[in-house]
Amino acid sequence: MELAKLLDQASSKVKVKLEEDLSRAKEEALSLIDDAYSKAMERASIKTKELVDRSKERVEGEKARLDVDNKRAFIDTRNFWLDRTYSRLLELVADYFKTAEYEEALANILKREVSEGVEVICSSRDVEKVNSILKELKGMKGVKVTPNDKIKGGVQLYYKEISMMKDFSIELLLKQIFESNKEKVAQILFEGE
Amino acid sequence: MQASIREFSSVSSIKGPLMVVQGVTDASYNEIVEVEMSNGEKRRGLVVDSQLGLAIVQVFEGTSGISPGGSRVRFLGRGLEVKVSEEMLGRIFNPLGEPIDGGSPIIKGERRDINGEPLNPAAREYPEEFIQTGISAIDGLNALLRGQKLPIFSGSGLPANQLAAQIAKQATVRGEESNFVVVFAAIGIRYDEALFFRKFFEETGAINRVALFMSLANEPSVVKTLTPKTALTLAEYLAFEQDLHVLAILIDMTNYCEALREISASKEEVPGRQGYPGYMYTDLATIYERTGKVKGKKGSITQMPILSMPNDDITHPIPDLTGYITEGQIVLDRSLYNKGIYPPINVLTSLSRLMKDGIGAGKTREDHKDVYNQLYSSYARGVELRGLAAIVGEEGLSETDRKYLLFADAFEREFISQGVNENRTLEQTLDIGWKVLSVLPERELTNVRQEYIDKYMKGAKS
Repeated sequence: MELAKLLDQASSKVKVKLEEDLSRAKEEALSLIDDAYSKAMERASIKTKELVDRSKERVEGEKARLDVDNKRAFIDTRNFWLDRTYSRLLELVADYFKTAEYEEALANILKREVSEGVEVICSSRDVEKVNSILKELKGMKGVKVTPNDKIKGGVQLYYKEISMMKDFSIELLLKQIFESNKEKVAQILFEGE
Repeated sequence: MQASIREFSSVSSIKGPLMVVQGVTDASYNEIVEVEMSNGEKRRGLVVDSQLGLAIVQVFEGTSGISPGGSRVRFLGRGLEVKVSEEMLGRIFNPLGEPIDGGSPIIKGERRDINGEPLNPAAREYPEEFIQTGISAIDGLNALLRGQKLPIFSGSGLPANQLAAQIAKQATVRGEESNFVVVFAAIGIRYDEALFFRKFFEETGAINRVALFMSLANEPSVVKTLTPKTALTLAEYLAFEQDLHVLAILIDMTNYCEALREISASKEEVPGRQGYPGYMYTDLATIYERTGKVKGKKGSITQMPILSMPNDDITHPIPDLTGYITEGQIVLDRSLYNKGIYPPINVLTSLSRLMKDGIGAGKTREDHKDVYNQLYSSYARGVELRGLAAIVGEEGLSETDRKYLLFADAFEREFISQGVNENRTLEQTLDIGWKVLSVLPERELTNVRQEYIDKYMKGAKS
C-alpha cells in the first residue's frame, strides 16, 4: 500500500515536472515560431516595399520619358511650321525687290561701303540697278559688278586687296531677323497673339 | 540685330587649333567666327587674339582638314551666346547649346553671353536653407545649403558619377520640391559615362527636371572648356529670371583643367604649377563664383563641382585651388570604397563651412547639431582606436574603447553606407545616427543634450 502511495507520489511529481517542462518547451517553441514569423514578415515586407518602390520608379521613369518625348515632339512640330513659314517668307520677299524702298536700301549700302577696286556681287536681276547707282558715285574706279543668282537680293562686297567679303544679302538679313523674332512668330502662329 | 558679317579668305597660317587670319582690323576678342572649308563643311571658333591687321582664331572642332587657301572665315560680330529657356529642361545639349538628343532647337528663350556677369557682392544673400540630398553622409554631417558651392573630391575609379547622378535625382529643397531643378554639365566624359547619365535620368524619372550639357572626351579642348559656362548661363537664367532653385552639378572639373592646360600650352603661354596655366585660379573662380542667392530674387544657384584628384593627392593644384574658392568639400575615400561602402565619403576629411547656419531647430531638426557633433567626435575616436588596436590588439583596449570600435564599424555600415537608389529623409538620417550612437554607453554621449537622448534615442529604442 505504502509502496503504491509512494509510486503515486513519485509519478505525480514526475508528471508535474514533465508538464512544466512541456509547457516551457511549448512556450519556447511558440516564441521561436513567432520570431521566425516576424522575421519572415519583415523580410517579405521589405522585399514588397522594394518591389513597389522599384515599380513606382519604373512608372515614374516611363511617365517622365513620355513627358520629355511629348515636349520634343511638340517643339519638333513647331519648328517644322516655323521652317515652312520662313520658306514662304523667302518666296514672298521676291515682291519686295520691285519696290522703291529696296532700291533706296541698295543705294544706301553701296554709298556707305563701296570703295575703289571693290567687286559687287548681286543677282542678275539687280545688275542694272547696281550699275546705275554706281554711276552716281563719282570717282569710284575699278568697281566690278558680278552677277550671281545664288543671291536672291541685296549685295555682297568683296574687297580684293584685303581678301575680305562683307555680306549684305537679303537671305542673311532675313535669317537674322527671323531668328531673333522666332519666339514672337511662334506666338502669332500657335497662340494667335 | 547683329553687325554686318565680314568674311575673309586670307588665312595665312594654321598651327594646332589656332588659325591666323590676315587683313582683319576690327575683330573683337572672343568674337565668334564660322570657318567654311573648300568642301563646304562649316566649323566654328573664337577670336583669341586680335591685332591690327590680323586675328588669331581658335577653332572649336580642330583645324584638321582646313587649308590656308580655299577656306573662308566669317566673323559674326558677336560673342558666343546661347539661347536659354525652361524648354531646355528634360533635353540634352552640346556646349554650344545645340540639342544632341535628336530633337529640334528650342524656340522660346533669351540669348545670353556664356561668360555671364559677376554677381554684385553687395547684392548677395547669405545661404541658410537646407538642401536635402538624400545621402546621410552629406545631409547629416556635411549639409549642403541653398546658394553654397560644395565640391566633391573623388579619385580615379571611385563612384563619383554614381553619386552625382543620385544627388541630381534626389536633391530637393524641402517644401519647394516643384521649384527645384538640376543643370548637369558633363565635361570631357567617356561615351559609356554619357550613356550612363542619360539612361539613369530617363529610367528614374529625373529627366524632367534636369537639363544636361555634355562634351565627350574626344571632343576638342575648347569645346570642353565651354561646357560649364553654358550650363551656368542656363542656371543663372532659371534661377534669377524664372525664380527656380537650381543645383548645378559639374563633372569632371579635372577634365576642364586638363583642357585648359592643353589650350594654354598650344598658345605657348608660360606654364604655372605642374604645367597648368598661372591664371587657373582666376579661371576656376569665374566658374565657381556663378553661384549664390541674390537679394530680391526668389531663385538661387547651388553648385556641386566634382573633380578627380590625380593620384588621390589633395595637394594637387586642381583640388587645392578649388578648395580655396569653394565653401568646403566632400571627400571620397578609397579605403572605404575597398570595404564595399557606398558612397565612400570620408566624413573626417569632409567639411561644409556653412552647415552650422542652415541646421537645427526651425531649419532641419532640433537635435541635428548635437547628433552631428557626437557622430563626428565618436567616429574620430573610433578611427584613432583602430590604429591603436592594430598595435596592441583589441584585447589591449578597454571595454569602452572596444565599444568605439564597434561604433565605428556600425557608423560606416549603417550611417555612411546606403543604396544607390536609397533616398533618405533627414529624419531617417538622424534616426539612423541615434541608432548607431546607441552602441556607445550613454555616459560617452557628451556632445548631446540629455533631453535629446531621452526623446530620440530612448524613444527610438522603445
